[in-house]
Amino acid sequence: MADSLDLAETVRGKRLRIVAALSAHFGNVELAESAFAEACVRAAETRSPPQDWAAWLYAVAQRIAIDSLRHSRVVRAHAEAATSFDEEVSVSERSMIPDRRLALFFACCHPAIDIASRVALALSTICGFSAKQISRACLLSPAAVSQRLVRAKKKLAGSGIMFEIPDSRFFAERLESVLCTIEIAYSQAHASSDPDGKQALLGRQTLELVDILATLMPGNAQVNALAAALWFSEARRPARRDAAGKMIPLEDQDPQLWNRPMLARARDYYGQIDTAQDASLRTLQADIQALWCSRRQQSDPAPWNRVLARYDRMIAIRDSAFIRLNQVVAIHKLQGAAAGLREFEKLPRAALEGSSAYHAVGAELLSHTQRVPEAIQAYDTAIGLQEGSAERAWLIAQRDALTLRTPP
Amino acid sequence: MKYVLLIHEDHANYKDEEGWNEIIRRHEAFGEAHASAIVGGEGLNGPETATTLHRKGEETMVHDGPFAEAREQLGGFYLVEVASLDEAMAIARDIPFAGDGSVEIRPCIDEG
Repeated sequence: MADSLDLAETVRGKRLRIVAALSAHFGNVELAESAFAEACVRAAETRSPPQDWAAWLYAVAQRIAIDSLRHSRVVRAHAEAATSFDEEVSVSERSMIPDRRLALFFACCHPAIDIASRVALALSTICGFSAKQISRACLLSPAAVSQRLVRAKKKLAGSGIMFEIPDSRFFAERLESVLCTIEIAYSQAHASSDPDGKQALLGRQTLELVDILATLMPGNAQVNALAAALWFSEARRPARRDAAGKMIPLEDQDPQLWNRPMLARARDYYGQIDTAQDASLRTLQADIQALWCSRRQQSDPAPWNRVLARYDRMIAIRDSAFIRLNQVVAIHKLQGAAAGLREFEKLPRAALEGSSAYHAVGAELLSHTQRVPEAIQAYDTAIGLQEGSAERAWLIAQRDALTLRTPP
Repeated sequence: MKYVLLIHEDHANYKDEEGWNEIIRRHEAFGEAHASAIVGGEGLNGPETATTLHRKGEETMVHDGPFAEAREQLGGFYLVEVASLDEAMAIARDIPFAGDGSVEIRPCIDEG
């Protein structure tokens, strides 16, 4: 009885690490997962339980994987490469399971893998979420997620993606791909302020992913900055909509409603970066998040001045239409609507016109400069482009308030 | 690991002799820069010279033209031997083009 409990506990606690080590060793996630599953079956059947279940499962799964490679002609070369250690597998000596999760993380987020599959793959192999759990956080069915995972694992196994931490020639680009994968997953999670829908679940899953990355890459400013920004942002979820389900803009949110443990976690990460010394888009973004989250109560003034300074620095690093849009909002708050509108009109329309936020910002500036009919039109466009229900409700309320001001 | 880098582009980019000579010169430079990885490769005559055999069951049909009619056509290939997909991608990035185009990177079956 005690042994089967031990086994169940080991499988729960060590599965990801063992499968990661096997995946990296064989360069094949699918093989690693099926070998581990088979090893678990054998473990349940064995009559002589070992001292160390984790080491036993690791060693047995290795042998199973090697046997299955021997049977497969196509990958014979790998099996030959692996034979050398097969013969010296000794369960008692193999209690050290190497931590290859970071190598696996890099492999799963390789730029040659479709971005949506990267997110699913990382959530599955790094965090251990099932296809069903992943599907609850996205628009796909469990079957579609499984299919996507199977395809991505085949690509991983057959395309020459290395299950190693990339060397200096490729490191920066590959780390960027890892960080972008997490950012894209989080931006989907953040798109809606729903406190307990799909997006909230994806938000929690993404935070788990970024936490693991931060553990695996301690001291990396980019990783810590991303982790800080995500935790700050997610901490505000409870304050993002009112009782009627309408969005509350950031500066009007009640800081008392923010999630304190999440803020503390964000500050831990934020404390590890030095934005003065290491200014990048991500560290400045974390800076902005930290500024917003430094408010204690609703009456505290919004930090627009310092926020604008950060946007200016971000644009100096990379001129992006979306950063400029945010800059316009800050200019509006600090210098008035006329100044904001002048800057708004300089924005590259083509890059932004598909975004609801662009039209919403324009609508607000127009309404504050007495151009009400144009403002109403801009709100209509913004409403049409907005998918989040709380955000839509807010836009509709803004538009309707203007409509009341203008006689038909 | 061996990879074939399949170069797809619009053949019309090379109509004039000057453009042709220029791209040949750039391919030579590319070949020298990656000489240690390149195992083979060829440039192909235009898609108007292509003949395609379609096999359907027992029957074989001859088609005058390339496999698929598209603006971008297979125009050449390199065979490279490198350690990883990252390296294959880095080499593919350096392949010269006269205009727009694409490079499909396909790993070869490893026979051991």
